[in-house]
Amino acid sequence: MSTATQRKESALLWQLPILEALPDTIQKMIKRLPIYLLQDMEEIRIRENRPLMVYSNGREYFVSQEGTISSRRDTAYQITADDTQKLLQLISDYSLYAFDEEIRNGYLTLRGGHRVGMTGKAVLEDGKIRTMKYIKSFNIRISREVIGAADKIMPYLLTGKDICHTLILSPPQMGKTTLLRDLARKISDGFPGFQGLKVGVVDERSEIAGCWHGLPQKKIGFQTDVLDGCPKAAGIMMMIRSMSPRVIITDEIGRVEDVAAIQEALNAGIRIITSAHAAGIKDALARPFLSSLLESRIFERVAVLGDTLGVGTLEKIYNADFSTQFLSQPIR
Amino acid sequence: MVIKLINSCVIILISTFIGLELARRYVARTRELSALQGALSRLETEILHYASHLPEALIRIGESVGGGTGRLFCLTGQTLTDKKKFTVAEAWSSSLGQLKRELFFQQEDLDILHRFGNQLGSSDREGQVRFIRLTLLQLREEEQKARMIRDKYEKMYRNLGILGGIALAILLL
Repeated sequence: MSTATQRKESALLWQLPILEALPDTIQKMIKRLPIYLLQDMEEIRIRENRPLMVYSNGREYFVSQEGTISSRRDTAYQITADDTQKLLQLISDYSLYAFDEEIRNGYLTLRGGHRVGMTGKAVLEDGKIRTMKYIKSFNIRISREVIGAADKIMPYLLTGKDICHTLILSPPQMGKTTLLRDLARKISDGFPGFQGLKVGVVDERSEIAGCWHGLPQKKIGFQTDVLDGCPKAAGIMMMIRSMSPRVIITDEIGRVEDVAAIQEALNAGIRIITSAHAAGIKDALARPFLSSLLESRIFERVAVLGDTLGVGTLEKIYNADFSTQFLSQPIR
Repeated sequence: MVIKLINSCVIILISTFIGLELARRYVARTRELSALQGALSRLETEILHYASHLPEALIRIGESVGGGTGRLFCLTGQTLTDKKKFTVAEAWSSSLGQLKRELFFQQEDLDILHRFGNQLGSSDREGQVRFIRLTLLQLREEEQKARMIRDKYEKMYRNLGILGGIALAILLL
């Protein structure tokens, strides 16, 4: 099989678990979409009484009953109440009660690690969200893993046989999670010149490993342990105590207790790789939480992601006190 | 004379059998109602403590309960696993329809069960547990009523069968 066909097939791998979760009506329409749209599919949008939409190739399209696309709203298929009800039952495997926590957080994970975001009416109790009812809007996000996404950054994170404490700064949708996932795989599996290390992933939002029934659906390395759906601070402590990882990888730190947990990991001699929302160093330093974190000089490497050469571009890599910037120009 | 005697015996036998069969329906209904309550209690545990997914929970419980109720649970679970495009309510009521003959349920039991099927799997854990308990309560009431009716009619049909047969045989002699 040629690599081109292989790539094409892997680009379509998302279909099985997602089509399985769609009601018959919508499944038929999505199946009939042109192949170039299916390959680059990012989102399927399902909102009751509103047109069926997909997001692919960087823009949105309306989908008609016949499975053709158009940019006109009036030709699109209108989602019925029956569709949303069936979809909710299918994505929850007829067991909505087993997903209380997920519903409260507004998303659940399908087989294959794809996430379905949902909105409806929040039911409150003591000012906190207890559950959600009348769930009428769904966003099915196709998640793709990019094997090799961490190849470019890897040399900058190594010090001898060890890994630097690393913080990845990035605006949303710039490949932060993809990069963390591939870092986990590379560090865990090892590569020529680097022997693999035990990795612990604290995956609060089930995005890095995309666990389904406790099994990682993404390639995250053969000696990687995943704590799925676990709050970061508590998860880091659990990892330290129970799994003796050499490297802990976690997504989007942002709370004060996270820093305490990271400190604890540092004291235990564990390397930390994590990420935060920020457009760059300046932006990060303007935020109270991130600036105090950066000024503590915990992180030996601070990498900034952007899209000057496309999504996932490595814009800058700094050392701990920002005195050195390793990249002469952005790389991808 | 011999033929007449044989005829009478056949009549008595058939009539006794009909009586027993009618009586059996009442017994079977109470038995099924109580099995159903057992199965629902187990479903409550599966949902509350194990958060098991509905199709596998239904099949597991159905297999261990057995009888008509067991088949109802198994069939519903199987339908959900195989035909991905059914809703729980549709699968449940189609199973009820298919098993109508072996379940001996009365209309009032079926009403409770259909209401139950409409809610099954489609709310949060607390809601499910509350609904199962409500259904259990209603079923217990039906079972009590069914027992009273059974006590009344079971013996009656049984005796009626034998005595009616004898009476008919005497008349025809």
